[in-house]
Amino acid sequence: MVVTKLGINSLDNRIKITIVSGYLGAGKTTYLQHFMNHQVCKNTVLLVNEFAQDGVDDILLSGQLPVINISDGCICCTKKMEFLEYLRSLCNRKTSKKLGTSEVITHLVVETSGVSDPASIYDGVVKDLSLSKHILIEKIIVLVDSTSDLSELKEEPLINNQIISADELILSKVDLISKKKGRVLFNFLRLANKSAMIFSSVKGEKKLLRSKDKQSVIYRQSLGPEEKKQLDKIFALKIKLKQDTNWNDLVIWLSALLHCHGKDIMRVKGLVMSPNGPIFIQGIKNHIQKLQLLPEEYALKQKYLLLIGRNIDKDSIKASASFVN
Amino acid sequence: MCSSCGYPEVSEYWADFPASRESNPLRDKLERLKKLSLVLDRYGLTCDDGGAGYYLQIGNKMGRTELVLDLEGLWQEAENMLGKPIDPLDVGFHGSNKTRD
Repeated sequence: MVVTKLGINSLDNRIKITIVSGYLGAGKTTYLQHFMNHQVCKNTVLLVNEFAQDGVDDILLSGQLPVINISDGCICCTKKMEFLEYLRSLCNRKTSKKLGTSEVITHLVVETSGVSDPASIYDGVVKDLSLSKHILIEKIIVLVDSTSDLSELKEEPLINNQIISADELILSKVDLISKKKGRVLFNFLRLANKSAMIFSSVKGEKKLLRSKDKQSVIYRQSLGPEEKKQLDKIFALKIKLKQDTNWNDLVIWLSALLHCHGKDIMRVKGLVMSPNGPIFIQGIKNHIQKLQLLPEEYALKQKYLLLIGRNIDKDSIKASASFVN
Repeated sequence: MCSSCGYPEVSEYWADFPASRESNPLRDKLERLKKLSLVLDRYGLTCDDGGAGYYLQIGNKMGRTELVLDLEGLWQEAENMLGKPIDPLDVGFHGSNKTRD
């Protein structure tokens, strides 16, 4: 059987959003400049959110991408309404006309302010009934400044939240640190987020990092008991589902789990079989994005649910999943 | 539910994903109701169709009933009635599915 290379979101007609997040000074702008200069970005708009007041209000054409600016507040709180209004206008395709292009916008890259929580942005979109039909948050990229002290990364709760909710973690400015520090940081990130792809970057150019599990284990041994306890509370659990898993059982179980434990479940991802065909479930905390069908070949793949979070015992989730399996 | 034909309202909730042409939304809803009843029964709660405009009705066997718009609303009302959320990690929740027919 030939399996085509259709991407997991290829049948999804919604506007795809990539959120680029990271603490102050982590290198988001550098990363995006490199990205815009080296990638062909068709039908893509960049939205930059600046916490400071002196943002530029005009629409600029920078390289290949139109850039929109929202400043003087974060789009996860004070500027949320403005952000959602902009998303609505994007969905209405008015923005294409305003930008002087007949091309329909299909991708939006959002550079968040240094102090925002990607989960709150996600929240705003998913909860809005009309936006959730037209927008899919596809990826969360978080930049981590490798020149920071490790203690800062561990202690600052916002950084922690960003790290745990990321799909991709990028350790920036690795040319400015020692290899040893790089390894320590990588291991810390790997323990904090067991499923994200981890990259290093120099001046915005990224490189995938791989590491043997043994390294993370050795690193974990070097931690103090309190730290070990904190990191051990983080889990990533992949539950393999049977091909004939009942859709109602799954929906009942997952919705109850997210209602009861939503604050501790950071991400949900899954490939499941619905009565209408294969679908991809994606969510942060108790907000699951509106579902879309996948190309038919996904019906043949192994079905699963991936839960990433903290403070819940993995074994009790596994036992509980017998409801579904 | 439509007051004419009895078919369920179109819901915006993620789990109530538009039915395909082959499926029967009424039958699907009844199946889900049946499964929910099995779970809620373990907690002394009942679950029925919500009637016109609502998704479900949850009750506590002592006469109190509440109407909800979706599953999230159901779990919230169950929590209000019980004083704590229904937790699928409890053996009482997942054990109940072993009695399915």
